[in-house]
Amino acid sequence: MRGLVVSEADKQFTSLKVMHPGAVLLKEGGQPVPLLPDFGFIAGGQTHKMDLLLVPFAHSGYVTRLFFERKVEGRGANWNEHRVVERNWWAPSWNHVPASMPWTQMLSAHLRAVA
Amino acid sequence: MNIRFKIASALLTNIRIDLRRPHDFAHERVGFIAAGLAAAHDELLILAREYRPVQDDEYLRDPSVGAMMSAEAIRRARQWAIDDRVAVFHVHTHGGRGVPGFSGVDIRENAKFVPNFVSVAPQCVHGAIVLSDSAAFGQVWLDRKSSQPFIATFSEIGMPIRTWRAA
Amino acid sequence: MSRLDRQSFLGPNSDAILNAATIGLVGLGGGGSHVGQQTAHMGIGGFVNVDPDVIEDTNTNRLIGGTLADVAVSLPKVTIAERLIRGLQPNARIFSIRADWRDVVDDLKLCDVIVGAVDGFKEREQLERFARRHLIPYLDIGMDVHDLGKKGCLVSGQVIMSMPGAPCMRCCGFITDERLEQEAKLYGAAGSRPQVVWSNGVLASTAVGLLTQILTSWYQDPPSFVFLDYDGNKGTLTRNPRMELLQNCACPHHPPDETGDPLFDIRARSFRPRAAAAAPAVERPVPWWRRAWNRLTGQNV
Repeated sequence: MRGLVVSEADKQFTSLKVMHPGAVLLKEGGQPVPLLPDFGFIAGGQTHKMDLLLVPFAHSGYVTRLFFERKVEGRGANWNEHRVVERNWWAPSWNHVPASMPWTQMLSAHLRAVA
Repeated sequence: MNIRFKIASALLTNIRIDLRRPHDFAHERVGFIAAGLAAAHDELLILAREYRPVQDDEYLRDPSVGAMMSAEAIRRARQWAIDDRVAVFHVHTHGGRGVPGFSGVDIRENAKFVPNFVSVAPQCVHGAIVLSDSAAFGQVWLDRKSSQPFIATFSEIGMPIRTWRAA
Repeated sequence: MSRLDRQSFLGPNSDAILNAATIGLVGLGGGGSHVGQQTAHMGIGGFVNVDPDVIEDTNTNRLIGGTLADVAVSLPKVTIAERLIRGLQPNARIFSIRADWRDVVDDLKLCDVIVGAVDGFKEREQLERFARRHLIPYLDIGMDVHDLGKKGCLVSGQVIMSMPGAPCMRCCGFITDERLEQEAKLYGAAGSRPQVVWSNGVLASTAVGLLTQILTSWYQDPPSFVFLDYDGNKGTLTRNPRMELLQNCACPHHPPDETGDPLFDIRARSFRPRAAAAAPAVERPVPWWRRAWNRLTGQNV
């Protein structure tokens, strides 16, 4: 009987899915990229709801990255447009969130960019 | 809607090589191509990814046809469509040159099993392709109800690119 | 007799093949404008020209087809490219889009080849990945002038051909995480990088030569991966050693199972024809006094 091998990415994604049941695990360049559709978060005292894309590895010169469906106006700095997993996204300049962090914590750390 | 099928030259070459292998009793070999999908304006792009042959022990003895797949072969291909969220295309070759066409048997058999793929993986289109040694022809099932359009254009991506109109 | 008779060596039906082809030109500045000019000369029939910028005074040292009158009216670079192309291919299928390439992906998806003459490694990486996902060959050109201090300047550049399945710009070490980090630290403020027409010309011409290998069968056994280093001081264009090392290597950065849109759902898609390309704009000549006034006052219209 074959043993079930659960990858680290699968474990991380399972935790993320507990936080956000609608999460979907995509892939780019062979690496896992969790999509969080319609994720609610607070930014600048206001509630926002939009798709988020967490890239838990080095991307576009950053250690890890969180991409937003649209700019969060008045929050974050140096917003730039990117194309990731066949979709356009926006990301502020917010670096040094380590790839070793659990994805749930990584997501929170990135959301501080627009808090 | 126009339908465009694109496949890397190396993959197409490997498929043709595989389909030419002799089988103990089947006259033809068959397999499945998985593809990603994209859309642009009024064009559906079918972007081939991978080929999996029907295994030797997944053919049934039926002298009335070139090749008959077992239920297990179809089940495996259906599972592939579900697990990997891919468009699946049955493929075989008629050899020769020029744009081929489906035989009466192909048309009959395609209509039997391709809709099953649509049922289990309805977010994708699925279909069937027949190759010659120089071209290809194909048909697409968009869902279970609509008519099945033909692939208008094939592009073999290599050096150089080869493009032909099939329908 | 056809104006393309002198290139009949490109193979039987080459005129028809080139006319049927559609190329995406992303970046119509110093490098891209050369490519637009040359591909029009050789009879390419379809163009998706993408660049958000207008021509400025400092572009005129290298932007092919651009004039001082264009600067006076801040003509979009894509308009200059279209004008140049139509002078040779009046019936060309041209979509001139003054936008970021990410905003016009549906037009680029339908290109046979994409040529990137863009600034920055991030742009190149994302454009290449887009091309790979749609099984589109990608040609990349770029140049730089490096200040060597007392030793003067080094003019350098590259031409890279990235074919689906074959090595990519990461495979050959042209794009690295380190380079992306350095670039990110600049927050996109690359500044006015030195650029000259002759180097762009060498790189663009070489890319167009590779384009003909992608589209026609004139060259026997062409390599499937090309990485050429340009040394503008020595006047050489040489094969990067990795070009030989990587031949016949598969690319791990763009797995074959990542073609298409991973979230595609046919049930949620509608298919509508693109609005037809606008008829060629009839340019109104700018009066001499207006051009003179603009130059005196440093205004762009």
